Amino acid sequence: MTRYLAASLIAALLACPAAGRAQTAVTRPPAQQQPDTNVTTIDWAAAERDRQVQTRSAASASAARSQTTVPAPRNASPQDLQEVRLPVLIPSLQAARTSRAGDQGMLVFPNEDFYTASMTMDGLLVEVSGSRRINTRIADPLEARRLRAGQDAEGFRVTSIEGGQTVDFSRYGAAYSVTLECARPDDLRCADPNFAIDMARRLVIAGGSPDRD
Amino acid sequence: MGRAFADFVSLLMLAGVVVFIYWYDVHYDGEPLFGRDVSETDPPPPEPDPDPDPPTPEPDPEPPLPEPEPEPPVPEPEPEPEPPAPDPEPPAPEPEPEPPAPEPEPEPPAPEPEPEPPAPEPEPEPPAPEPEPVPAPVLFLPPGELIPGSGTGRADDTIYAPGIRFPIENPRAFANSQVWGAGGFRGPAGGQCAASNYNFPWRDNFCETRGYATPMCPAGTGHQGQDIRPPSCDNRLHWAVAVSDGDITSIGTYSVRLTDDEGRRFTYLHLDPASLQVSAGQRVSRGQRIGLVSNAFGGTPTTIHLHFEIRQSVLVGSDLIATPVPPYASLVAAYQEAIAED
Repeated sequence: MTRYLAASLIAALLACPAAGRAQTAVTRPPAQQQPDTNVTTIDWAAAERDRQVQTRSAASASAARSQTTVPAPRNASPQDLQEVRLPVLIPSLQAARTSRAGDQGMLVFPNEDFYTASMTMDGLLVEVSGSRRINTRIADPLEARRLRAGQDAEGFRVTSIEGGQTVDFSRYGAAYSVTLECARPDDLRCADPNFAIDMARRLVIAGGSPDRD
Repeated sequence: MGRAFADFVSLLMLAGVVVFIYWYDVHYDGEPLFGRDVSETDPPPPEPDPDPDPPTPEPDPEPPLPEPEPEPPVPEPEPEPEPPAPDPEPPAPEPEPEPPAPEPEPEPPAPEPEPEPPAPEPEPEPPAPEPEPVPAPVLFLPPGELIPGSGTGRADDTIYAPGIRFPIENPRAFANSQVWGAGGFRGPAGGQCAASNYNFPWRDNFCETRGYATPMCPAGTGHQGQDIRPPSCDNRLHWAVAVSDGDITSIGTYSVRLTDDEGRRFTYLHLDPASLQVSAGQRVSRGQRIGLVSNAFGGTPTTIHLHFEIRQSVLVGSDLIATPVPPYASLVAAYQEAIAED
């Protein structure tokens, strides 16, 4: 009996470290960050105010120049754009001072919580994306300050990238980004931040609607 | 008379010798008088030596005491009347027959040829000393550990794009700096095909010094993606593939952009334009070929590598911000998964 008890005690002592390790392995938080599928709340009232201003402005411009300022998507219908649950901002070609509509028309990739629109014109590639999908959260105040840094008074952060420029900004509770890429390295449209900011300022609302429920 | 006296003395002396020898034999059991310490006690017979050493040779049996030589016959005394000896000595005892030499003690039985000590069990070879543990080679330097002098990295092991596929079809590629690596603009001599560029460990180069605004870099500016050299230093040989199901949203001069179903945006730079297998607007599947990794960079070629970026939406307070995020940890995870499946 004593021998049995001693053996049991030894076995238990030997098992403890392994059990501890297993417990550690189980309780260790997974390194992987699960995709966060949360979304932000959209300020539709602000979007509606901007849309009304944009409509009045477009009407006067259209009357004056008799031309559309927004290229039609070639791979999506206007109804598809309405299914997006955030304001769909796309470039106004006239505002971008381009001579003609996109070389190949505009491509739009609508999704419930995000979209992308792109076009190429005169050797300039323009891609606009918007999202209300929260992929990552940053709570650290220092990090938050750094992420907000570099924005101008209008909330634009413009920067060069490899082969072009990008303008990032937040509006209506969603995140937007305008990317410009030039076919020619000496194309000033991809070197002048004012050109990029002007493009971002004149984006127009081409779709989007609140959740039905 | 004088002669008789001399004979008598001789007899006495002879008798003395005989008595002494007898006494000695009785008390010392045949041991020689000299040549040993009489105070010693005899050692016990040797125990059989467990030691496998050859048994010490048996001590020779004590040599028998030399038999006293027979006294020369005493000449008969002349019949001369002799004055009676004042104290007639008892007649010298006949020299006793020499006690038989002590039987040589039976030799202690020769230690039975010791059963060959059971051949010592071939003792299990003492375990070869554990070789010094060789530290496993480092395959991936930690996130944020840039080449010294190339900028301040972001020590962040967050996998911002979990589940992506490695962006090069043959995943045995090498993530490192193409600017600060051998043959790079700021790197040591050796050419872009130097072995050091095509070897482990991987090194992060997100946030490497650049003028691009990159909010997630400690400096606020830096390289917005990760450079990846293909498995070999061959231009236009290795395929870049879709990291996730999604849409090819745009194609630039040497860039391809893919948005996946989570709203994550992936940018591939330096693909060979002539090799592209996709077109803007196309839906692609994870792992589908996009184009060949090359040195395309507009008019000025760069090194053969894929620049890979991840952009996504980050919630900061109440603001949702679109920004490049560190791709290194996501790529390490994708690489490990791809190698495991390979």
